[in-house]
Amino acid sequence: MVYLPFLVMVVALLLGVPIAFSLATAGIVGIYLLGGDLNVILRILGTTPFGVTAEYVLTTIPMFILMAYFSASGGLARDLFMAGANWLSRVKGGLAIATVFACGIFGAMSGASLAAAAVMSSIAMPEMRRHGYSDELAAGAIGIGATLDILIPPSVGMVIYGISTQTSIGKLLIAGVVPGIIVAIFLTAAILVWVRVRPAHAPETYVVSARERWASLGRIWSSLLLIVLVVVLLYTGVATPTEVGALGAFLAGAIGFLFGRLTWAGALDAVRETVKTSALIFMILIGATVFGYYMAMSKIPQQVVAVVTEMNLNRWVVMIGIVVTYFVVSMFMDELPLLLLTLQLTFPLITSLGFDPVWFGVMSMLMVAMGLVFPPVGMIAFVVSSSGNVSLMKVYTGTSILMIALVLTTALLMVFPQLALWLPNTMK
Amino acid sequence: MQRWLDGCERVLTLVAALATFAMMLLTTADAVGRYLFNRPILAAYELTTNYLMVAVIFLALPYAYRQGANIRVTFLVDRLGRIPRLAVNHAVQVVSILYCAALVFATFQQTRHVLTTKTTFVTLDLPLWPAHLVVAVGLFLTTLMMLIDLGEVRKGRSSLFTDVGGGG
Repeated sequence: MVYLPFLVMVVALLLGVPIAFSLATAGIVGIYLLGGDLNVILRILGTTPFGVTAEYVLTTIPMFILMAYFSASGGLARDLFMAGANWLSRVKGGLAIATVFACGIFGAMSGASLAAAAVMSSIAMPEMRRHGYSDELAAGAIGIGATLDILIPPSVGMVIYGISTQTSIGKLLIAGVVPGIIVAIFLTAAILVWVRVRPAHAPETYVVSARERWASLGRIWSSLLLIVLVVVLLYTGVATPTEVGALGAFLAGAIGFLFGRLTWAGALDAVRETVKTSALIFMILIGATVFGYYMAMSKIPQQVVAVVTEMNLNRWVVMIGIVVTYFVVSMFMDELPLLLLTLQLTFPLITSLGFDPVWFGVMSMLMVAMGLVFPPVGMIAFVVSSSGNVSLMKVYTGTSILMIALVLTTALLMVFPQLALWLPNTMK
Repeated sequence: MQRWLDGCERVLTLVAALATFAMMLLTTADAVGRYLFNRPILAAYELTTNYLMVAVIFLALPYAYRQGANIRVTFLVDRLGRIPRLAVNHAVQVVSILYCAALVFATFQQTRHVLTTKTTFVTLDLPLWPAHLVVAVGLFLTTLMMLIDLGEVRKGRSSLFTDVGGGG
């Protein structure tokens, strides 16, 4: 009986009930079955929407999203890509590497991987095609490059993880920096190997004058400065993540206006997109909180922990099981609902096995990133396919090959957790 | 009715957008005031969480719904024939309406409770009930839109099934 709500949730999800409502419905059924009368359910439904929303730390979410949309609507992504392309034009596969660079930096100003994938597809894809790059390489670089947004701060996924698990958001955001850089390095190496093995996939190199190269850097220095400022403020703890979010959004808007990238109409569109995306995320958060009441009342997480402990499994076997499960589920689901759905069960388990919560936060983001680019669904792959006008099969081919960067980083973090932890551990 | 709802949606979205701007400016000014001049803004914390955040999220809810921003898992439903899919979509629309209607009822009750207990901010003598009312109103309009959309499911025009946000 206690597991019936899970069945309700799975059936609701499969029938296409919005994820926010599936979670809540399953929670309501569960609370009712546990003997909660209608008054208890109504009290939970009456207090949860306000309680979840009127939370200071959660203002980080709309502020990070606003920062992303201010940056995106200001043409920053194009300037980043062109700067990278100009400096790497003489390297074989340079445009694909420039895409990774642009995705990484753009990710540091946004945190929304799907937005980055859409923006970069429309910018980098035509340019790479013009220089004879294969669709597989181009789409693969964009798809995997876009996943950097999930790791590199400010990452909305990390904020959601932090809120769901009561883990320091500041530490989580900083913990993504080194793994993000490692993914970018592996990705660059994978692209270089690809074009060496299959030179026809990136046939052209070209020369750009030194003047043009420096000029392109001139267009992005202010944004690079903003990124440094965001990371430094987070790292030093001078400002809270909430304040960094608001300040980041303010400065991204100011830079956009100052450099003539952002218009009033663009700013209004950015805000409209921000409130829409935020409302969507908070409806899922409300649904997850209602389901969370059921989980707390049912004591299922404690039971799962007890069962796994009794099985006396090696903790790494459990971790690999979680990795594989996340990877499979994330093929069918977007990053935020996946985290909200699974963390209530996986988090108590991994902490009981002695894994570091911050390290698991980074691991979760990597697992989610893999699912987002891998067949049969992979949301980022869909976005690259539609925005870049590439067949889905070619996108999957590219992302499946370049996904090696994510796999290697995950393996590396399992062997050397310190790669994710040393930077947050040095924070005050 | 539809035109009235569209008008409400536009006004509420505009207020939500203004609240977003206000939240950004207030938090930034508070942080700068505190760190540089040791003078934080009184009640910035409470104004942001109790009024602005609530306005950003719940006043934008009808707009988010109209834009088809619901994340759904659709890979199974997409494979169904037209008739079974319509039946499933009707059921999904009804379940969604029921959940949201329960939220509307519960949040209006909560608003009444906060109003009668005269709950205020901690730092200022500002009432908390308007914030709760915003929650209930945003949910109410969204539920109304869903209810009207029930008749549109058959024509494939319900906003619940236009996934711009995607979800697989």
